[in-house]
This record gives sequence, structure tokens and C-alpha cells, in this order.
Amino acid sequence: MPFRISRLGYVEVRVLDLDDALDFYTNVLGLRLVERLGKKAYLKTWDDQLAYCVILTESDTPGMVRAAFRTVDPEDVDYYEKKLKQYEVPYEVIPEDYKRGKALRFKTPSGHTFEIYYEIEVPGNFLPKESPDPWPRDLKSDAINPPKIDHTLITAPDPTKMIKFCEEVLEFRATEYVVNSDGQPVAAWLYQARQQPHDLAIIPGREAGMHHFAFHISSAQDIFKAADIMVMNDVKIDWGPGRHGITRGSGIYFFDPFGNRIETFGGYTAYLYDPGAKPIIWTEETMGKGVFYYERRLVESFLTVYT
Amino acid sequence: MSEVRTAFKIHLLPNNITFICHEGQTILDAALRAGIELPHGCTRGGCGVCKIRVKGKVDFGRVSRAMLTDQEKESGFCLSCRAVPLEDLEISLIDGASAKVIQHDEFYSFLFKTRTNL
Ligand code: FES
Ligand SMILES: [Fe+2]
Repeated sequence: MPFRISRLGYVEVRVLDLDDALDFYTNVLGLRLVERLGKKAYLKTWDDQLAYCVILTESDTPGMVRAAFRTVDPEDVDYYEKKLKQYEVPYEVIPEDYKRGKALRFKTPSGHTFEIYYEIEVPGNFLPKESPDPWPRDLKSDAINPPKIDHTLITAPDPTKMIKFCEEVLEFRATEYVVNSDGQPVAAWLYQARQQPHDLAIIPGREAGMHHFAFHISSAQDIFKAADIMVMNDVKIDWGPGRHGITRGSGIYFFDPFGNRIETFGGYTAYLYDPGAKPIIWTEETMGKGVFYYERRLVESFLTVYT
Repeated sequence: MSEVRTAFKIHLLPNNITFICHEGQTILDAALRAGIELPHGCTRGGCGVCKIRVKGKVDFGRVSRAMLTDQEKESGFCLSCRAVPLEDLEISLIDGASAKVIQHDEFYSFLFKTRTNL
């Protein structure tokens, strides 16, 4: 079976004040503002080829509005439309959105709004098209500057059902599961065409909850620099720099000024998965080490603190 | 010369401890500095984990409306990570339990009462 989703394309996240949000997301995190339109702002990382990867929307409650996945080919959108029909998932066809073409929008069993799209403007990254240097010279030296968006971890009241939906209908494949005593997955790390440890992960929790969304930060040096920048700017660090047993990624959990959790996720210790390889299994006894490898235990806030 | 700063007294029940909160300081910040472990998560008004009962006037600050509803504000709840006292307060945890208190004094005095012989 071919991969039909290329990656997590964008997330829309609610913030309580758009001015303060933009100050944080551009000056501390180091995203570039594409455009601000009323109560929404579109942003992208410096190495993103697509029009944007984060939408910030002013609201009275933080959390996730939607997560959108981009397909590999244009026809894949039609393929998923057929699949949604086949599984009787109610969906809407959104003909267009900011700098984007058609998308399928639907609610998942976990209560999240997902979109699947292909067409979006592809303005390129912030490097020249010809003979580029490896990074833009005008990166803000005291910002985190992740090159790309990586994944999102969301919460589901019935995680097993949500995991099956993502696997059967959306054709995600699992790299890792936490299984309960019945052998059912209660948490999953799911990948698509990039074969990274995950584009999407699911853990038990409230309906439509966002545990975090993550940006790629690769080297140990960059991870520690990111942590320094967080402290310099009085950003609340939730965990890390540390390592996950699950995915083997290294990272930092931190909060935006409204309590949305963000992660820098380091690929330098993480694997690329071979299709067909059996998913890795964690159990109730070992999952402490799975989530926080060095600490070897789950802290309560991992399961209770999210937007 | 020291500036005179307004401060409010916060009385924590059932611990029966009073601690000082400076003008503009959040309840959580003042509590943690006093070694009182009030529950907290994001510390940015988003997750609701720091919700406590409060008697007295506070500025609720910028908080998630899903985690602190208008009705909760009226019936004596606040998010301690954002709430700033406007007068002396009485607070308690949601479940009425005692908050954990850390005796910072002991290891601080170990550090700072060490004699320096020059
Ligand atoms: S600690 Fe998250 S709302 Fe106060
Ligand atoms: Fe993550």
C-alpha cells in the first residue's frame, strides 16, 4: 500500500491574545509571520516549502482548532474522500482557505477536527532557489528557529477507537504502542510517508484535547540552546531537555503564554521506520521509561496538563 | 533605601499558614516562594490544574474560559497561576486537603549560616 499522506501540514491553535502570541511565536520561537488577518495569523518555519504551518487564532480558550495533513499526490484527496464515504464518516468539502485549495474536513472519534488537503501555495523556504546556503543568514540569533513542524500529540476519551480510526480510515501506520493488559493499544505513535517516528500520536484524555504540537530541533547543541532561550525569556519549561524512550527522540516540553504545550523534538537520536516492521510495544509497567526515559516514571502532569 | 511595596496576606486553610504576596504577584508565585506546593501545570492560565478556592477580591488574569468559567469566578474559584490578590485573601485546595509545605529554611540556613573564617 502506498503512503498517501506526506505529513502534518499545519495546526490551528487558539491563543488568548494575538499580539502577545505573535511576540512569542516570532521572537522567542522564531517562526516567520506570513500574514496577520484580523483575529488570525499565519506563520511558518524558515525551512517550510509550503505557505504556512501554524495558524494562531484569538479566542477565550487555548487549545487546538484543527490539524491538517497534506497528501502526497492530488488524487489522494479523492482517495480519502472515498474512504470517508466508505466508513460513513461525515465530512465537508472546504473548497478553499487562505493560500490553500480544497480540503476534506471531518471530526475524528476523539472529537478533533482534521483536514486532508493537497493544494496549497508553495512559495518555498527562506533560502534562494539556486545554490542556497544551508540556512538563512537573517535568523534571529536569540530565537529557537526550528526548521520545520514535526508532529502533534492529541488526547482521546477512547484512545483504542481513535487509533483504529487513524489506522483503518486514514492509513497511518504505527511505530510504537502502549498496550493494556488485554493487548489493546491505549496510546500510539503513528507515521506516514516521511517514515519519522510519528506525525500524529494519541494518548488517553479529554475529548479534542491537545497535549502538544512539536517542531523539529535536531542537534544536542540546538536543543540546549533552545532551553537557554526559554529561560532567558521566562518561558515555562514543563520537562527536559530530556529523552523519550518511545520514539527515542530528545526534546523539551514548554508552554506558550496561554498554556498550549509545544515541544522541540530532536530527530538526531530518532529512527526512520521501515514499512512492515512490527510496531514497538510498551506496557503499563514500562511506559514511564517510554515517556520520560531518564526519569523512568510518568509525572502526573503528563496526563493532566494540556489544553 | 528600600521601596515600600504593597503586600497582601494570604491565609491558607486547612494548613493555617499565612504568607505574603506582593502587589502584582500571582498567588501561585507567592506560595511557591514560601515553600507551599500549590498544584500547578502550565502556569499560564491554560490547563486549569491550579484551580483553588478563594475568599477575597482577586484580578483573575488572562485565563482559559473553559478552565475557569464566569460562574466559577463568581462562586469563589480562581486559577492561582494567574490570579493576583487585590486584598487579603483566604485560600484552600479544591478538595479541602492540606497543601504540601517544603521547609526551605533548613537547607538555606545550612548554606548561609556556614561560618566564614578570614
Ligand atoms: S497552572 Fe495551568 S492554568 Fe494555572
Ligand atoms: Fe511529542
